Amino acid sequence: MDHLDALENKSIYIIREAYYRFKNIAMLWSVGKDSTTLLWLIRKAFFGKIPFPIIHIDTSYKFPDMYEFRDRLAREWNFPLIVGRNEEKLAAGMSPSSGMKLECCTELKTNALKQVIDKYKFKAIFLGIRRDEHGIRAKERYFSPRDDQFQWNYENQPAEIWDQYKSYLDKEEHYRVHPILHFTELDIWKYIQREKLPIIHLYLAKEGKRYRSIGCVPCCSPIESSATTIEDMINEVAASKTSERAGRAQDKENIYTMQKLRALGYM
Amino acid sequence: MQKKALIVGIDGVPFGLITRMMEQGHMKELKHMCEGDYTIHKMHASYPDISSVSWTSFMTGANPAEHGIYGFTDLKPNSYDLYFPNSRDIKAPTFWQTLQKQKKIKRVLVLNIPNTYPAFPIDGLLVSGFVAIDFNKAVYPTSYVAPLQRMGYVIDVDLMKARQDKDGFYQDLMDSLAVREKVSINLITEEEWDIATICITETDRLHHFFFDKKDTPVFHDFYKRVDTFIGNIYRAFEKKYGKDFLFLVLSDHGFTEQVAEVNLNALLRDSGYLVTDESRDYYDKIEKGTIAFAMDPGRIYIHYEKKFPRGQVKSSETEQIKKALKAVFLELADTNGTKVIKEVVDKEEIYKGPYYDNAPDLICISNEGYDLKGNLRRKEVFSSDIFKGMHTGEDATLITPKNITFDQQVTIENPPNIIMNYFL
Repeated sequence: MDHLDALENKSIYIIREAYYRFKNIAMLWSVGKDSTTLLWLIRKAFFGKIPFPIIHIDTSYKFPDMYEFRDRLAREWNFPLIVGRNEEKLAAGMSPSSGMKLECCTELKTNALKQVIDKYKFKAIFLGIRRDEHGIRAKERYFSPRDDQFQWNYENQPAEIWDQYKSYLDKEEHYRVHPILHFTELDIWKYIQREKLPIIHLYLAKEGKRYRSIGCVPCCSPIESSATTIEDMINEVAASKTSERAGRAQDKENIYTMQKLRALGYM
Repeated sequence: MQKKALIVGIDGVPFGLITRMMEQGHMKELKHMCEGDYTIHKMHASYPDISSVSWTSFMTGANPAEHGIYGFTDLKPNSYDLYFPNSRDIKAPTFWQTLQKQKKIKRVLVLNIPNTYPAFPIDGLLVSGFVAIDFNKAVYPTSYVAPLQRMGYVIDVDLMKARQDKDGFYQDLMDSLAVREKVSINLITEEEWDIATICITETDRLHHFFFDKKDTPVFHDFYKRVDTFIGNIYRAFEKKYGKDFLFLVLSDHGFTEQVAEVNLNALLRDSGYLVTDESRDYYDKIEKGTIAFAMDPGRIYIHYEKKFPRGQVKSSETEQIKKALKAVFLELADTNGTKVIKEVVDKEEIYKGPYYDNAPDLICISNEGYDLKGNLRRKEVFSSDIFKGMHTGEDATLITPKNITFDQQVTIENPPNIIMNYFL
């Protein structure tokens, strides 16, 4: 079997398995290349008709192109879209430029998602993360349990060998399901090319710069690049030695430390 | 026979308050001790009077220029990059490391002392205190992680809860005291320790959010509970090792009621000493033309050209700038005309050691109630939040055996020397 077909088959197997297990499931779509690829795979898994909602967490600081892309695809692919926003914190002026970069993500992304999960009582969420993105993501499972505080106990998770997945839940838990965990950045671009998937053109170079990873405007920086087509990009990624998320600013342990210090009136 | 020591930390407990609690009968155990074989001293905290700095001075017997910790936050060399100093940044050996190296002691218990995260190797057990994030990294050796979790051990209460549910937060503090006591007694009873060092940090949390209630049952009940905690671990230790052991109780700083928060960077900005570019984050906001800036709580850094990327101050200008800054700080008064800053201390007077260059150039000491802040967010000099208490430096607490006397002012660097002398 072709390499990309093998990757696709594995993903579709996990998507169907998870839907069969949980029913009350949704997918988190960042509008980026990875979760758009996942969205495409989910469409394929259910023959074009996605049987559960797609969640987009809107921090209000995304690139304008991302909103345009989101709404266009939701129309064309015809799936139910839930837009989650932490309205309370947005009204209070939370933004990465108010000198609160470290809390901003927690409030506008993590807590906004918590609110959506609480409201709709989802037992599982599909995410388009990949093992090669980041050191900590290499420890992820396809079926990854989270407790009610969203905590992930990565040192004590069930093994996943010979395609056996643990998907039994304790009361207070929910699952994150990662059907494209085994794709690499390069696989994603090759797959996008083969399937002719739509992508946001922020990924393609304009005036010598392009975004390798996209999120909120203030927290993403472009890399030097002359890749104006997906073909160029595949060559560039294959030759790259820096990390994909190098242009993104945040570190979990620092975020928590900052929160604890702020809670006692420091910073 | 092997000598033994039990050290109890009571984070943020002021000398004046604990003395009053004893006199009023809320701390019967400690009162009894201080009428008997022990005596209470007023002690000076580290500069600045912050838990991570003061407890590191306690652990090492060294001043910040020797151990390298100046606050919960600091900047990386020649940059504006904020980092959070932790146990890895401590440059001086701890008293137990020295004593273990000299084979004077074997197993040591260090429970909940701030600035011991990530947990580092020890012959014994170390469980980190504030600011510990990941419990798996807060325990050395890691074989204790599961047993501690089974006992329900918590490093700290959920501090954010104080904003939403103060009664619930108070109850959490009581529960946290109970589980820390249970775990302490269990460890003392079940295992062998030559030195057990146990820190109660719930007192500091209580003070931050409830210090306006210091003369009410909120405090009385809490201090009774702390008193029982200390009495119970004392007896557990005594039961195991007999009467003859070194017993110390100490706090890392004092506390007083907060009147206002004072944002030193707003003052420096208004006086023309600080220029910021608001499009950047944290201390990276500091722009060319800045003469000085502040970090929590009253640390003042001169913006030297050889120390900071956008610094333009030459070292030859030091005296003149320090003089001008002192004048600005000492003149500051609130709307009632009350002076805010009592004293501006020069680094030369207080720091000595290999990490002297990293030290703040000046430290502002406020009059009681004025809580000095070093953030760059606040635009106004005076502000308020939900906090009711603030740290003080002059009135930390130390309880020692009666035969220990001091001919100079007692500081947080003295207790580790008492411990060392006892074992040597």
